[in-house]
Amino acid sequence: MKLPSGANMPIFVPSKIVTKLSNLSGWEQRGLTGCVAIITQPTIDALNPWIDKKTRNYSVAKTTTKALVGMTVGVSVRYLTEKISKILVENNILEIVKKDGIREITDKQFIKNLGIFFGVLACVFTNFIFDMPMTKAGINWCVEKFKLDKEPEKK
Amino acid sequence: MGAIAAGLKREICKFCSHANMGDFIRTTGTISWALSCIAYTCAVIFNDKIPKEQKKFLVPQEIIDGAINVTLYWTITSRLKKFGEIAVDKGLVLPKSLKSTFLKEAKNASHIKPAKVDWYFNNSTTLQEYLKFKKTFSIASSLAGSIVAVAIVTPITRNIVAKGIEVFKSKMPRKAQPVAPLPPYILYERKKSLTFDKYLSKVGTPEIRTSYPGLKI
Repeated sequence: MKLPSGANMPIFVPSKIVTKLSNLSGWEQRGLTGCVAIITQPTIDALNPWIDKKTRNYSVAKTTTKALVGMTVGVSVRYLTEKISKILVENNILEIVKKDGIREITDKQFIKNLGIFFGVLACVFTNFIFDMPMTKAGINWCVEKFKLDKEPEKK
Repeated sequence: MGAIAAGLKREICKFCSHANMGDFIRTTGTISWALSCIAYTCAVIFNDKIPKEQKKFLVPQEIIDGAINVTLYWTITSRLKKFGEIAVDKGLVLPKSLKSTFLKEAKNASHIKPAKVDWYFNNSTTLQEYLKFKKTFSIASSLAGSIVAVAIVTPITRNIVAKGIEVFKSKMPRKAQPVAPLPPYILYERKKSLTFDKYLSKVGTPEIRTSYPGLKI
């Protein structure tokens, strides 16, 4: 296929996937990021060549726990804040602010935005109430379960 | 008090009525990562089960992780969002549903060079679809940017930087440790090869001799 001079053949992507991705709510976005992070982050730490084996084990335990706890709490909090936002919008407690008399977003999108926003605010507290103690407990569990405090055997 | 609450409510609604979701994801995400960085660093600092030796690496790793996370999250999300907009604008990426329209129009217009790719979509339906795709692709790019930043770029960068700091620390001149004065019996052991006169002049008084009955003169 010959295109006008200087033009490249575009990459055609399914717009359904793009639309689906762009319509993800706050908790779905956090869940997607968390799922990828649970796979990649501990793998990257396990392959870190610049630290000794014992520190590497601690690093992997810490990163895995952090990713798991972060995702669980993050998704739950955002899911709840979105539900609360829906109630607030449905009862006209919170309403869309029009710009020059034009409504720029739909109610559904507004609820999603409110959910993300309140989710971030809630994180100020949940990070310390849930994330911090759960991460600590998770690391301690890993230390005991996998005996990380023992010197690793040398091959 | 009521006026403050009403003002706050209005500002929240205004912020969330923001039409640009890409910017919204970036801003709220950055704040969120900054907050969780503080919590996770505390979780490592106040954990008694992690030995001090490992904390020396893990605490800076956590702080660096947070700083890099926030910076890279903002940068990569912004860049990829911009890239998404430019890619569609320049016709590098287009929706599959517009493939036939694009190829048909491109065949007809092979002798000219349209300034913008939307030239190919000359009826309202295809143009609407193109514009909608442009918007959604930019949001999806923003999200992809946030995933790449959090899950791949940050962990690699933080490990490199943590190692760099460790190397830098090891090259720094170490502080001289204060030396405790030697106890007299050690001095005696060291000086017993000396003659008595010399020994006394070095070690001291007759009280020392009575304190150490094993001392033979």
